[in-house]
Amino acid sequence: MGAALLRRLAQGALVVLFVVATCFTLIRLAPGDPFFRALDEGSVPAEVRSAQLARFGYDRPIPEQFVRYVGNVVRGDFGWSHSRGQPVGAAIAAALPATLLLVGTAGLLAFVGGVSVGAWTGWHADRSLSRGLDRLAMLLLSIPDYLLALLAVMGPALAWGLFPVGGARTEFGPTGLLGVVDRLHHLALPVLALALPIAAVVMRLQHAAMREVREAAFIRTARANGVRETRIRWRHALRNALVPVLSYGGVQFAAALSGVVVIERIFAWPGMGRLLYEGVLSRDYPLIAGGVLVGAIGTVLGTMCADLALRWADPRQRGA
Amino acid sequence: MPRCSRFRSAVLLLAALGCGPADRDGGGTVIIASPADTETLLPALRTTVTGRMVTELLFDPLVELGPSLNPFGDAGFEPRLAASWAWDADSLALVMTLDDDAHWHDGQPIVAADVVAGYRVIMDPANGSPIRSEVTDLDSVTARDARTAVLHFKGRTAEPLVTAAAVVPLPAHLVDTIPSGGLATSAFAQQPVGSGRYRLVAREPKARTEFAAVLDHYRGRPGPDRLALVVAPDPATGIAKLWAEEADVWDNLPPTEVAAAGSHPQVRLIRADGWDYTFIAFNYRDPADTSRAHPVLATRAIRQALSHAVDRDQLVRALFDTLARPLLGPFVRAQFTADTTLTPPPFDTTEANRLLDSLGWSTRDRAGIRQRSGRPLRLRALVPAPSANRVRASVLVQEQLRRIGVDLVIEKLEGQAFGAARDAGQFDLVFHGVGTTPSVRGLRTTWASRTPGGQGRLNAGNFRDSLFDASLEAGLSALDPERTRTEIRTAYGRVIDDAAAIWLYEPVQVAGVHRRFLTPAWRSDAWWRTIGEWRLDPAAVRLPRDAAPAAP
Repeated sequence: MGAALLRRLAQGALVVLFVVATCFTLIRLAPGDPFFRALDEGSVPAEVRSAQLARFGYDRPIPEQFVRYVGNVVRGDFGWSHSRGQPVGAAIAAALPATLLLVGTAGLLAFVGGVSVGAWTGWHADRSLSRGLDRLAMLLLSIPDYLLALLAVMGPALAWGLFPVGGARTEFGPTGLLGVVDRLHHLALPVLALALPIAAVVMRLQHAAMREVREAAFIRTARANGVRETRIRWRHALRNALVPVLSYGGVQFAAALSGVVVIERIFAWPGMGRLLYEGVLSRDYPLIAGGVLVGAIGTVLGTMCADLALRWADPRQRGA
Repeated sequence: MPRCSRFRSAVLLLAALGCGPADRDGGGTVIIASPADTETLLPALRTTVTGRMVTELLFDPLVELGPSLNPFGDAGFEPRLAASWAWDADSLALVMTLDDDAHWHDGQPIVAADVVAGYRVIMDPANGSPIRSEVTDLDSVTARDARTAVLHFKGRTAEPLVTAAAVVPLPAHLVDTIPSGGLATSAFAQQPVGSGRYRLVAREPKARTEFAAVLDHYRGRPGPDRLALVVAPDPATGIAKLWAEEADVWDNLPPTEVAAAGSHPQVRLIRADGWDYTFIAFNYRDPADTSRAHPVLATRAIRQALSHAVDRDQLVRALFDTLARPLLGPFVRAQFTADTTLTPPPFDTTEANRLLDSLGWSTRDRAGIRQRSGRPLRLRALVPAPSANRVRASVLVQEQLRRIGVDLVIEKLEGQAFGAARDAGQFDLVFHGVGTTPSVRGLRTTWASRTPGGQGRLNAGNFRDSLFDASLEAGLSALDPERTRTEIRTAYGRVIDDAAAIWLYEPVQVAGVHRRFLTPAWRSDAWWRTIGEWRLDPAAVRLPRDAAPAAP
C-alpha cells in the first residue's frame, strides 16, 4: 500500500511537471505579453515593453525561463503577478480558499444529495416519483451552467431580491457571527448554480448503478440469508453502486477547482477560476503558471483520493 | 427597497444593536462597480481609465483641468498641490508654488523635492512608465526651494499645463529609497502614501479597493466618508448590483440597460458626452510586405467608395438607438477642437458603385463579388472579440459592403491576439477604437506619421501625411488657443479628405447613480474628480452602509 502510494505520488509529480511545462510554453507562444495593452490602450511604447520583458527575463529562451521558474518555485517564490500587482503566492493564497469553499460546499451538496436521491430512485426505479426525479435530473443536465447562473442572478437575486447579486460579502457589511451569516448568504447562489448540474450527473450515475446492483446475485443471496432490507440497501448495494460515482467524483472535484470560471465570473466570486481566466487574458505568465500548478496538484490529489475511496468501496481494486 | 436589501438591513440593524450606541450620520459610502480593476495604484504606471480614476483619488496633481475642458494655455486649469504658478521671463520655465497646507497621508508636508521625485520616477526607463511619453515637452524639473518647484520646458507648447498635470508628485521620503526599476514591485506600490482626498484602506486585486476620506485635506473634507471600487467582471452582474442597491455607480450603461432603468427608480441616469470613438482604419501598407503600398487600399478612390457604401446613421441606430452619434472625423464632439462643419463621405451607393467601376472593379462573379483581372475584391477586417459593439458593427458593415460587391472577411480575434495583429499590420481593415481626452496631443500617437521617437504608435493603418504632421505640430506649439484650434482643425480635415477611415460612431456616456446622492455637474472626461463634492440628499432614505465609519 505504502509503495503504491509513493509510486502514485511520483507519477503525479511527473504529471504536474508536464502540465505546467506545457502551459508555460504555450502561453509564451501565444500573441501578446504581460506588458502589452490590448485593444485601444496602446499607451505603452514598444521600447518600454521590451525593457520590461528583459527585466523579468521573458526575452530569454523558454527552456531557460522554465528551469529558472522551477528553481524559484522550489525556493517558494512563485513570481510576480503583473496584472494584480502582487506576488503570485499572495494572489493564490487569497483566491484558493474562496474556490475551495465554493467547490467544497457545492461538491458536498451535490454528492450527498445526488447519491441519496440517485440511490433511492435506483432502488425504486419503477415508481413514478423516481421517474419524475430522473427527468428533472435530465432537465438540469441539459441547462448550460452559465445559463443556470445567469437565471439565478436574474431571478432569485435581482427580481425576487432573495439573494445578493454577486461578490463574496456585503460591502461594509456586518462582522463577527453576522458576518459569517452574510458570507453564507452570498455563497448560496453560486453554490447552487455549481452544485445542481453536478448533482444531476451524480444522481443519474447512482441511479443506474443502484438499479443494476439491486438485481445482482449477492443481493439475492443476502436477502435469502435473512439480512435486513435496510442493511442490504445501504451497506451492500450502495457500497457497490458507489464505484462509478467515486470515479467521477475525483475527476469532477479536480476539474471544478480550476473550472469554475463561469460561475466565479458571473457571481463576481474572487476565486481560482477568475484568477486563471484573467491571467490568460492579460498574459500574466507567472500567475498562469502558478494557477496551473495549483490546478494540476488538485487534479492529481483528487484522482488519488478517488482511487483510495474506490479501494475502500471495491475490495477487488486493492490488488490493482 | 429590494428584499435582499431588507435582509441586509435587518442583519446590519442587529449588528448595530449588538455594538452599542447607533452610529451618527455620515457623509455616506459610495460603491463604484466596474468591470475592470485598476492595474496600479501609482499615477506613473497607470494605463487604463480605471487606473486613472484610482490614482487620481489617491494622488493630487499639481494642477487639474477645470470644467471648461480647454487644455490650451493655463486659463482652463485649477490649482491643486500647486497653489499658484507663473512663467519665468523666458516663457520656458513654469514656477509652481506648492500649497502650504498640503500634506501626504502620513502627515509629512509636500515639498518641491516630491515634485522632482515624481518626475524622476516617470523618466527612469527601468520603471517603464507609460506617462513618459506625456512629458516629452519637459527638459527637467528642479526644486528652487522647499515650496517652489520649477518645470523647465524644451520649447513653447500649446498645452504646458497638461504636461504639468502629468508630473504627479510622489513622497520623496518613501520613493527615493526604491531601487531603479523596482517601483512596480515595491511595497510602496501596494500600499502607497498619497496626497488625494481619499487614502487607501484595503485592496484585494481584481476584487475590491477601499478608500477613506482624508478629513484634514487641504482642499477640505470630501463628502462621502468611504469609497469602494468593486470589480464585477461580467457587466450584467455589475449592473445588476446597481439595480439591487449593492452598488451606487456604474459609469457606462449599455443601451439595453438604459431602457431597463425605468424599473429601478432609485437610480438616476446621467447622460454626458462620450470621449471614445470607433472607426474602420484602412491599411495603407500591404499586409504581406509592409514596405510596399497596399495593392487595393492605397488608392484614395477605393477608400472613398467603401466610405460611401456604409450607412453610418443606420448602423448607429441599430447598435445604440439614440445613445451614440455618427462620427465626424478623428475627434469627438466634446473636444475643444471639435469641428462639426467637417463631414466625412456621405452614404451614397451610386457614387460607391461608380467609383469602383471607374477603377476597373466592374465584373462580378456568381456571388455578386466584384473582380478585376480575375482577382475578387475581398478584404480582411480585424475585429476585437471582447468588443461586442465592434463585433456587431462588423456584421452590419459586411452586409452593406456586400451590396456594392465587396467581400469583407471578418477575422474576430481575442484581445491580445487582435492587438498583435493590428500592430503588425496584418489586416486590410481594422475596427479600431480610440479613447480621447481634452488634450489633442494624442493625435501624435493615433494619426501622425510613424517615427522612431514613438509618434504614430497607434496609427494602425499607417496613414502618413506631411501636411497633417505640420498642422498638428504647428497647433501644438502655438501659444494662441485660437491658432491651435485652427491648425488642429486643418489636421482633422487632412485625415478626412484622404478617406483614411470609415468614421463609425462616438457613443454617449450614460451613467447610473443612486439617487440618495446629490452630485455636482457631471464631468464627462473624468466624473470621479468631483466625487468629493457628492452629498447625501437629506430627504433620501439612507442605506446601512452610509452610517459613519468607526474612528480609526
